[in-house]
Amino acid sequence: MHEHTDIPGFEVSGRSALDFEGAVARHFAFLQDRGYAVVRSGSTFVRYERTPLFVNVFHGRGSFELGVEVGRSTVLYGETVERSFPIGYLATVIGGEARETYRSRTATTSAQVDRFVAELGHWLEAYGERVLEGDEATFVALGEAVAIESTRQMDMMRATELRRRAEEAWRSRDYATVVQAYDEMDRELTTVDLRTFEDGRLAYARKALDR
Amino acid sequence: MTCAQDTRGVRPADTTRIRRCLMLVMLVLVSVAVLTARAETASASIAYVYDGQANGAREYAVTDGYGAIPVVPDIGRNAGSVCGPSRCSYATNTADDLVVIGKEADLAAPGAIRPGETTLLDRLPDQHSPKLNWQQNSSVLRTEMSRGLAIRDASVDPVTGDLINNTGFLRAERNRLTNHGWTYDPKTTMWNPPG
Repeated sequence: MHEHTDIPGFEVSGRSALDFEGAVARHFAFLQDRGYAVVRSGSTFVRYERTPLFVNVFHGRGSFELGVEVGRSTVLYGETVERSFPIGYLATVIGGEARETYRSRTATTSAQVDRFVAELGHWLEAYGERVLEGDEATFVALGEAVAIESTRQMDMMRATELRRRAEEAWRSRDYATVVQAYDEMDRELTTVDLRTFEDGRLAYARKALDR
Repeated sequence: MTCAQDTRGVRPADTTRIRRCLMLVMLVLVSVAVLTARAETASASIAYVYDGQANGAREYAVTDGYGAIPVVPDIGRNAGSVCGPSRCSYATNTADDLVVIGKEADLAAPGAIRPGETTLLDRLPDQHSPKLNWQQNSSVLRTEMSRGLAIRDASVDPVTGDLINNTGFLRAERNRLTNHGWTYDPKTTMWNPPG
């Protein structure tokens, strides 16, 4: 077992009582059978590596969220960078049963930590074989899943701003701006739909401008 | 009458002249001071330097010797830093440090936090409950947002700049930023305040 090494500056007092580190050692031992070795182990973070692949298991410092990331190092413009993917994306990529059985967990007691780390370990062992072997197609699919999710997030951000602008314009009866904002949402944000009342406002504003 | 003349026993009519002379002298002194300052600045060349960080080009006054001193406040980063060809020295944890948010693993990665950057972690002692931790986290983030300076996101895809790891407190932090009109730029990996 790797020596206990909390990340400098990331130590959390009292967290060792939850024995996250022990739980990971018990329930992610299968990684060592696959050639992974523990390179860092602390009260909230354990990292396994099989160059260039790695697995991070963490227990959120403030959120107490349990999570696992899989990833690999790649060379980008002559510099080695790591691309990591939370296994939630892996669940999306694999789909089916893997997606249905994946759960995001928060654990605040040692019993919960043990149970949910076991759950995550079993999930990764059951569904993560290809990614743990560095399968190129799986990593490409993970990259695409991240891009799709990122587009959705960016659209949501843009929609929040456009909705704010439309709301202000609606109140001040600036129908040109209302049409402009909702049109932009409708036309450019592929993952966001206008709400029913926004459709109604858009139609009303267009009519008002035509008069 | 010249300014050098003895002004004892001056007539009231000369008072205006004396005042004008004094103003002239003050004007000359101020002009000399301004010209001197400009001459000093001119001796340093201004160059746009890509600092290798997400924010891109910044303006530096490059001194004759070793190092470059930022002369543009930029987004509040690296106030007082002095950089040379191979190293920089920075005042750490100044009020102007650039705040970086992200998952612990991303913040702890070697080189993740650059000179002139800081995380919120120092201000987030464990309250032993997710709810209390979030209240504290939220409050600290709100304080940072009120400064109106950009915030860097470290939990991003290094190739595309896409946001990743959107779970837990990081997701809540990003939601808070978004709901307050902040926008994320994948090219710079920065969250920028509205307006």
